[in-house]
Amino acid sequence: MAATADAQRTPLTSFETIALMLRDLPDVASDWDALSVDERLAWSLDWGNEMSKLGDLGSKAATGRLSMSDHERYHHLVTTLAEALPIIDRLGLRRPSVLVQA
Amino acid sequence: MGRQLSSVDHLILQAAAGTRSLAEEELRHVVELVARVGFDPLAHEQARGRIAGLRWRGRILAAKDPLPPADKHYLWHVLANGEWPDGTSLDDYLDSIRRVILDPTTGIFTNRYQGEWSLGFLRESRDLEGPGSRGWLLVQYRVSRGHWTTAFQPFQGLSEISQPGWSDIRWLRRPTHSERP
Repeated sequence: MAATADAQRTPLTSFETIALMLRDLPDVASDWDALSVDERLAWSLDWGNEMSKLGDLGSKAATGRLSMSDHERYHHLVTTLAEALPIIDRLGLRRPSVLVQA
Repeated sequence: MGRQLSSVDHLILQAAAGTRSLAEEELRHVVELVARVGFDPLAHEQARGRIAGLRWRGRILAAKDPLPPADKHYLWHVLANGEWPDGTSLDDYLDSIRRVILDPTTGIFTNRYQGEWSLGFLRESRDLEGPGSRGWLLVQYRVSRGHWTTAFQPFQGLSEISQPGWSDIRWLRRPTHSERP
């Protein structure tokens, strides 16, 4: 859920921004051919940036640096991303490094 | 490609192809033009779910609301991701991009991203570093469109341009690293 742009707002966590991009993925995919080149490029870059964050979370998960609740959130993200791989590949988006071998 | 390329765009493409090394004056001319063009003021993109719910220009944004690219990038990178310091306005964001493009310590490179030729700028974030920044600021100017594609502070920092999707990187000027205390 996106936060309100108040003057004192706190930036979203990586979990939140990754989830937001992932939630938009089906909608973006259905509109992909109609998007401008700039919008496709910018969205791809933003997606790649979120996948970099996921990789960082993966490193933390692997070394026991995530809380139990964060570990569950991470696992949920990875599971959802694995299911979305056909869309990710079709759009030529950056694969999450944690699933590169999938 | 519907737009007629400018002389600056041709210089960029020649530099990208390695068929021409830009003289200092030519590079300055390229940089000054790119700094001026900004995001496309005539384009509109859907806010989509990741921006929906934010209060912007007096209303709560809905996913289908159209936004100029400048607004959308600001909302996502500055407000949602905190890549710029707290309190950074849209004008501050845009001015900061121009400053980075014009800064002589900024690295400048040509590249392809998903096959599209661009001119890229990479500089340390310095006073533009927000809580979500990893210390580097990246700008992309797409040649065939003649406007900025994006400006953000990548999670991978300088290593972003080594990630999948990026290709044909050719440095026209390497970034200058600040001396660390």
